[in-house]
Amino acid sequence: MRYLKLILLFFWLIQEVYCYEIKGRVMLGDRPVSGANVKVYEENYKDIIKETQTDKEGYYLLELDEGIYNLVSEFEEKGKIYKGFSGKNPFFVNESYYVGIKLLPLYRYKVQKNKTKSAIIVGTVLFNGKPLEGATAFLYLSMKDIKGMPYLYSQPTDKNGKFILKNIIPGEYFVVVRKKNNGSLFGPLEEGDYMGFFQYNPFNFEMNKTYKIVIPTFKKIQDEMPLHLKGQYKIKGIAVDEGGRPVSGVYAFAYKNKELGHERPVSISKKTGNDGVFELYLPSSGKYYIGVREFYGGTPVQGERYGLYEESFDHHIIVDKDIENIKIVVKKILQ
Amino acid sequence: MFRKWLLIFLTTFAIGLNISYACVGKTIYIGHISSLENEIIGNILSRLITERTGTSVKLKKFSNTNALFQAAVNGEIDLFMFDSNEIKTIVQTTDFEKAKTDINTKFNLVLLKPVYETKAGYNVPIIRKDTLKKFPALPRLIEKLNGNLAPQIISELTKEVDRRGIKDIVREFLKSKNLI
Amino acid sequence: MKFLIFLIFLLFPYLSFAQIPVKEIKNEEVWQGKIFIDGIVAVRNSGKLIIKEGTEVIFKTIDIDDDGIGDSELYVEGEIYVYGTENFPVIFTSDKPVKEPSQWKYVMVNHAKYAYFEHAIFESAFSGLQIHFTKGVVKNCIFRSNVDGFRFSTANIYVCNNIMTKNKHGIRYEERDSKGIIEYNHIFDNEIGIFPVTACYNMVIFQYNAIEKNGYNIKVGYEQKKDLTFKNNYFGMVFERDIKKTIYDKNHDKHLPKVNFKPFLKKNILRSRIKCLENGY
Repeated sequence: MRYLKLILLFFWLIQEVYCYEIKGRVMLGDRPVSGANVKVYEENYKDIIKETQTDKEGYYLLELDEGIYNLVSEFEEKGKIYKGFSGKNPFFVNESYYVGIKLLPLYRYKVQKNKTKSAIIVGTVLFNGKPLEGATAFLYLSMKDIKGMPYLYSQPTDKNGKFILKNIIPGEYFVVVRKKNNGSLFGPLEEGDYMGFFQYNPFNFEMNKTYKIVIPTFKKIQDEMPLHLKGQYKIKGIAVDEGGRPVSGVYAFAYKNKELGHERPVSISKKTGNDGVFELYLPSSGKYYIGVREFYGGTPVQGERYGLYEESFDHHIIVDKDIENIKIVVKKILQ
Repeated sequence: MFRKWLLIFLTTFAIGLNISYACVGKTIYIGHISSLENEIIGNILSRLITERTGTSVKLKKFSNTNALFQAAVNGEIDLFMFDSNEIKTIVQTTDFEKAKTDINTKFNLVLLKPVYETKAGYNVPIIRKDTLKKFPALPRLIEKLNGNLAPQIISELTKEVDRRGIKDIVREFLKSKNLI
Repeated sequence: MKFLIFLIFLLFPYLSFAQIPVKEIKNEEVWQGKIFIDGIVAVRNSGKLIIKEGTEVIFKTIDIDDDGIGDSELYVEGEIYVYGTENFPVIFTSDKPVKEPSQWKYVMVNHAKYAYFEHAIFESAFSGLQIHFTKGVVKNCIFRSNVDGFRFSTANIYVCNNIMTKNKHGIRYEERDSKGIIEYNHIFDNEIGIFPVTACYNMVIFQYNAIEKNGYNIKVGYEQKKDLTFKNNYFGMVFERDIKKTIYDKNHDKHLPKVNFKPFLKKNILRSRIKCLENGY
C-alpha cells in the first residue's frame, strides 16, 4: 500500500509540472480587440475550465494542462455582441500553441412550431455579412467527431446562403459549416476554405420545432499546426507508385479496427505533395492499421489510388515511439 | 518484497493488455435484464435488426436496471429498452420529454419513440449517440415495432417459449407482422 | 497458494486469448491433396496460390475470440486460382464431421490482383467466399451450409453456373462500385436467396438464374434506396402474383424500394447445359 501511494504521488507531481502556454490574439475584422473575454471549455462545451481577457493589444495568455479544449471569445461593443470560435476547436494541447480567434457578430435564432415529429433547421450561412453559396452544414453528436464523418449534412447552400435540414431526431447537436474551395465535402480544411460554428453550440433541437439560424463564417488563414486532434506519436512515410516514384495528392490514414472503414479513422494526414511524404499523428501507443488513399469519406472506388502498409499481413503497425521511413505503395483500384 | 513488485508489475501488465478481436463487420450490442420477457424483447430487436440490415447483433444480460443503464453509458452496449418506471429511477421523472432531454444531456443517450404507450406508462428503446451515428436508419427500423410490443403480446409469447424456444417464437412473431 | 491463484487469475485473460496463428504466402505456391488450415493463411500481394483439382482445404474449427464464428480463414491479396473439375472439385470445408455454418470464417479476396474459382465447394463457413476490390471469376461452384454463400462489394465479377443452397443468404452483396454479371446460377433452398443489403445500383446484372424455393427469393436490405432490377430470371413460378410474395420489397414494407423482376422466365433454363464464358464478361 505504501508503494502504491508513492507511485500515485509521482504521477500527480508529473501532471503538475506539465502545463502549456496557449496564447493568441482576438481580432474583429482587422482590428485587435482589448478586453475581450476568452473562455476555455472542455471537449464538449459543458464546463468552462479557465477564463481570461485580452490585453490592450488584443493578446491573451493561458496556461493549460494537457487535454482537449475549445476556445471561445466574447465581446460587447456599443450594444452589439460578438462571438468567435477558434478554427482549431476542439484541439489537443500537448505543446504550447498560438491560437488566434476572429470575432463575428452574434446572430439570434428564431423558433417556430412545426407539425412534424422532428426538428427542422433552416439556416443561412454568411461571410462578411453576405450569403455564402456552396457551403455545407454538418450536424455532429459530439465535438470529438467534428473532423470526421457527421451525423447528418445538408445540400450545399444556395445563392442566398440557405440550407435546410429536416427529419432531425430531437436532441443535442453541434452545427458546423464548411466550404472547401476544392469542392470536396470532407477532409481537412486548407488555407482559404470557410468554416463557421453555430454560435449556440451545443444546442438542443426539440421536436415539432423549426429553427431559423444564422451561421457566420471565417476564412482559414494558416495551417502550420499538425492536422490532428490528439497527437502523441508520429509516423512519417512516403507514398509511392509501383515504380517507386513519389505520389502526390493522397493522404495516409490510421484505424484501430482491422476492418477498415467501419469507423472513422483515428487519424489522417495532409495530402502528400510532390515528394509523396506524409505525417500521421497518433493519440497513443498501440496497434494501428494504416494505409493511403485518394478520396475522403466513403468506401474506396474503382480507379482511386489506394495502398496499405505491407510490412505485416493485416497491415498493422505497432506504435510505441515515433516511426520514420514507412513506404506505402499506391495503385489504382481495379485498374 | 519480490512478490509485491511482481504483483504491481503483473497488475499493470494485465490492465495494459490490448487484445484485438477478429470481426466480420459492425456489431450492435443489445442489453436486457435477465427475465424471460426482457429476453424475448431483446431477441425481437436483435432479430429485426439482423434480418433487415445484415448487421450482427449480440445480446448481453444484466441483473438489474442500474447495471444495464451503466453498461450503455460506458459503451458496453449500444441499445436497450426501459419502461417509464425504470427511467424514473435514473432521472426522477416519468415525463417523456423531460426524461428525453435529461438523459440526452447527462448521459449522451437518446430516447427513441416509445414502442408501447398508455396513460400508465411507456416502453422506450434507448440508444447511444455514437451508435445512432453509425446506424442512422435504426430508429426508423425499430419504430416498426410500435404497437407490437404491448405487455399482453409479450406475455403470450412467453407462454410459448417452453414449447418452441425463444428463437423460433421470435422469428414467427416477426414474420406474422411482416417485419422480416 | 493464495498468491499463486491470484497470479493465475491475472494472467488468465492473456492465456485464454492466444493469438491466431498466421502463415504468409509471398511467392507462388501450389496446393494439392489435403491441406489443413489452422488459423490464417494470408496470400500477400506478391503471392500466388494455385489449388489443383481434388484438393481438400480443411479449416480447423477454432474460436479464439469466442464470437461464435470460426477463426480459420484464407485471406488473399495476391492471386488465387482454384482449378477444380466436375469429377474432382476443390473442397473448402471444416474439420468437423457434422457440417454447420460458421465453423470456419471465409475465403476472403480483398484488394487482390485476380481471383479464379472453378468447380469448388464451399461449406460450413461464415461466408464461403467474399470478393472485394478485385476482379473475380466464380464458375461451377457449390456454396452450401454457410451463413453467406457468396458475398461481394466493389468488385468486377463474373459468377456463372454455381449452386447456392442451404445457406442463410445464397448471395449477399453491397454493390457499391461493382460491375459484373451473375448468370445461370441455381439459388434454392436458402433462407434468403439474394440479399442486396445496401448501396446497390443495378450495375451487376442478375440474369438467367433459377432463384426458387428460398424463404424469400430476394430480400431487399433496409438501407437500400434504389429500385432494383432482376429481369430474365426464373423464380419457380409462372404467375406474377406468386413471385411477388417471394420478394421482400416495397410490397411488404413501403419504406423499401421496388424489385422489378419482369420479364421473368417461365421455364428453368438450367436444365440445358450451360457454357460459361472462359474468363468472365
